[in-house]
Amino acid sequence: MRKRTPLELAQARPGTPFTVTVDGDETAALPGQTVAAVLWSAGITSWRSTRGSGAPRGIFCGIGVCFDCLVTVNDRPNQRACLVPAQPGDAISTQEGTGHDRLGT
Amino acid sequence: MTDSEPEQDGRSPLLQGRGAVSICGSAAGRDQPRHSRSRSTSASLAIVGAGPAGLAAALTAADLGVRVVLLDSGAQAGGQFYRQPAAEFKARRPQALHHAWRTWTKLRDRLAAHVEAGRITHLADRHVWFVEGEFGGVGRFGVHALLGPAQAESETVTADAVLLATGGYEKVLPFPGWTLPGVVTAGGAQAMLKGGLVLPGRTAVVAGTGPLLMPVAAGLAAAGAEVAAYVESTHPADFVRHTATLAANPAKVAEAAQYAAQLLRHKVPVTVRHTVVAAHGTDRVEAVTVAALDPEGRVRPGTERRIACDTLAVGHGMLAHTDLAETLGCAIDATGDPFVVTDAEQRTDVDGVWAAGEATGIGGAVLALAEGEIAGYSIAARLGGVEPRPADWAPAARTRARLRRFFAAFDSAYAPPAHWVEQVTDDTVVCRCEEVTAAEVREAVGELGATDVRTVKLLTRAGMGWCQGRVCAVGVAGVAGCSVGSAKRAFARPVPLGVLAEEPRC
Repeated sequence: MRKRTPLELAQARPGTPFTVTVDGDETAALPGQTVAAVLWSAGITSWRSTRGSGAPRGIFCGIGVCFDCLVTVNDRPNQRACLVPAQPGDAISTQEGTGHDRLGT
Repeated sequence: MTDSEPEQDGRSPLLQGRGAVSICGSAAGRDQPRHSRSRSTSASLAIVGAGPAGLAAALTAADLGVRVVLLDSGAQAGGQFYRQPAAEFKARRPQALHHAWRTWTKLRDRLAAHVEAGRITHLADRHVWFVEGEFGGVGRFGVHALLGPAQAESETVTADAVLLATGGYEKVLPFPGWTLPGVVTAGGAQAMLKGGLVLPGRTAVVAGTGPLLMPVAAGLAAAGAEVAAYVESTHPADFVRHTATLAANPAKVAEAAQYAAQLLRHKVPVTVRHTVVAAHGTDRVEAVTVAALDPEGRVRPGTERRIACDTLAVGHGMLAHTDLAETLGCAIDATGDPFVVTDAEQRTDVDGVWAAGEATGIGGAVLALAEGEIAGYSIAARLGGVEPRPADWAPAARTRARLRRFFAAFDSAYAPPAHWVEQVTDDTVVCRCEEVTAAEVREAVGELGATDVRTVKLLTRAGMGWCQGRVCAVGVAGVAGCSVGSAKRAFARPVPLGVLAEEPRC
């Protein structure tokens, strides 16, 4: 038997899905989803490598306290994926270290 | 680092305290005209936090004629306990993920009526970073908040009284593998589920200690995840000595029984007096090792068992958000996990500042509602220049007394394993932001002579990162063998330098 989803459990009626890109790949997103929710829905759990050891990180606290889920959105690094709502056309990219190296700053 | 980036490591002189803020004048006007991005609103009462405590206080005070501005970081009111699915989901049955839904709908409807009537201004998406007293003659307090997810602009609310209902966040003690993606706080898994209607993976282990784990495990299972194990480090027998407290709180017992029945229905294997000793994986968690605890809280050698999973939701209790109170100079009790000290009216020891809910000691939503209501009565009376009458809030005071006794008993029963530090291997990262290992912390104590968390921080950078030690302080203190103490952070959130440069008092 297919397991039910959280959207089904809450009887959600989300609007028309839109597209964002994750490291250039087109990915479906729903209105109301944060960037973190879009990434989790796509099966992605890490989207940052740390400044020191380059270890992968993703969501930890989920409420904006820990800053582990930092991500680059539309070339702006260090956004907390758990807080930022996804918008149509967003370019979400994996963040390496401080997120500034790739931007040449 | 650039000046438009949120403060990253606490080294900037601008984060060292108010005395240094005057230098921000040199940055003002470089990018934007002064005050161009600052807005201002005024109120008799500013409330920080629209969770149960803040809502109860706002409604009570507004009922009594006080003009209230309610600032909250969420897009919708409710806080963490009543976190709602994003409005765009148009969920017809959000209560499927909630407890005490009817209490919420009453709060929500009363708030809507007050907002409609103009008695409460609800400012959503406001991240309060600083509350200052003696604010420029406009009002007694200035409450500064960053706007929206971008957090590049600040807004100031002035008020004659302030209620801090800043809530709490989860305590997680370090263990090998806890930085792997897929290891999330139990509350984080719940927040993502309630707010984003999304799951972290297919197969979860829920582990740690405390009353939050049960609803998290039940919620994940109901939403379609397989909960491969529910691992609680305490044992139901630990509660037996608190029989009288349990008998006085039948609603709490019924709540636990309800969650237990849900776990049974979803066939969640429940293991007590066990702990997760390690999470395994390379790019994400693939399994955890669970082991039995002896009555002293030590891992029993040879009892280790590996459980495959793609998610570990873990938590060891809750911590109070005390930053705003600390910068206002309010007394903090830091003998254990720090909390804001309040009197019978929920007043702090700073004139004009009240506090309620988890910020004043962890005790759950019902206690927060009672404390918020009491604060609302007290504030309304004192703003009106009259002595409050405790008889007005007698039922709430009785609830408060009963639940504080209950949570004191909870606290002693739901404690993390006494010897958890022994499981923290030298190569375990303790400070997640700065990637400081347990070995570095131990070296700071054993070889360099550090005897407190602050010295450990100066020697190792543990606690200097993005989260400013909010996540790691308890872990660092445990590994270092000292108390957590009071953090004294200058600001409650990272603040862009451009915002400081524009503050009206610079």
